Amino acid sequence: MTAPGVEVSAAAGWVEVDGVVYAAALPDGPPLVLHGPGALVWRAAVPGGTLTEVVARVAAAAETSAEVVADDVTRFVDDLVAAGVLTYA
Amino acid sequence: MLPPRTGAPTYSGLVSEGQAVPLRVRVELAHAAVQRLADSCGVDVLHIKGPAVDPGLRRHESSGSDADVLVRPDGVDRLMAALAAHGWRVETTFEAGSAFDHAANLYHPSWGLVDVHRLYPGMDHEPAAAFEVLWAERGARPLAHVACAVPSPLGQSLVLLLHAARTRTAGEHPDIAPNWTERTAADRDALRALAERTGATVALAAAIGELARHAGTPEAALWEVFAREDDRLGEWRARWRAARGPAAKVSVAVRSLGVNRYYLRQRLGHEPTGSDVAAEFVRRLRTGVGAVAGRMVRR
Repeated sequence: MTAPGVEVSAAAGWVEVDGVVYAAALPDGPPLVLHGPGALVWRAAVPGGTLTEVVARVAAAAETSAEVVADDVTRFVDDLVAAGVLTYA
Repeated sequence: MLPPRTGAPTYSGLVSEGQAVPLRVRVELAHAAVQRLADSCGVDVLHIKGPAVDPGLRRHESSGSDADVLVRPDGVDRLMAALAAHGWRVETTFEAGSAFDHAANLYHPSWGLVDVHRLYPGMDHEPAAAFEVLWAERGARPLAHVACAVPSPLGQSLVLLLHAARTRTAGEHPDIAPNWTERTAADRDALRALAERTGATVALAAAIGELARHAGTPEAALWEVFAREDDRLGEWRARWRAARGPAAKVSVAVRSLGVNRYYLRQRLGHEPTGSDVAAEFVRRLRTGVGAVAGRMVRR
């Protein structure tokens, strides 16, 4: 089965300050605060690509294997899609 | 590496809707939120001041406490309706906000405050024409990764200079140097020309210390108040002198006593009751009377 594509929602706005990402579905919000690993997942999703590619970027940035982070990243991406800041293509 | 999940539906340590968001971030997101709404209702908006300004034009770091947008006048009603439909609450109406009747202040629980300008003080003779001049030369600046229209660099400088002209500061306002003094002679000529095209010649003169050239005109009287330390009564008296026609003069006089519920709430720390508003009205009235008495004593 092909991994779904992930991209930033057309409705999203976001700002990164001092390593913390503040993202929101506009125009209503509310703003989400993504720090640490959450910010890492966001940065991995911003260029777009398949979920597999996003997982690989996170794993590379965290200096671990994709298998270790795959489930967590997938669920977290689900959360961000539910919040309206990411979409599955 | 990601922390282990513990069965919670989300990573509580990673995503928080209740966590404090820095003011500068809220302001930038507010710009982006307003732009999205403006797009949805087909209204032209220019983002001004704060994070919308080219970094080289600001000498100070502050991004302000609210987002400022200048709206094409014929789209103001549509934008205000869209804002209201998306949870923005009017704190100060256009008529109650300032001596210039220029901006409404709105609050949103996610984004904080926005000032919606239906005209810009100093460019208020023909607001639609002034907006069109700025719009025709606009640039773009991403705010929270949302494309936002901003005035040209010269237009931004003019906006900042006109704002400086009505902002009382100890010494020279920090926006004067990067937008006037340190500009090239050619830039200053271009700024004068832009001021003329937007009806802001007198206001620009106030900003750059040339108001004496316009002495004796009602408009100069208004800007003189901002150019020197003066009490609130002086501001409203000058506005009254500058108002065109009896109806406008009466309107200015009545509004000078109006109560801003937002600032009253900030001061009281709770939602003002009817009694609070009434008490504040009386306090403002007494302040006005006090200012009159002070002037009589000084004479």
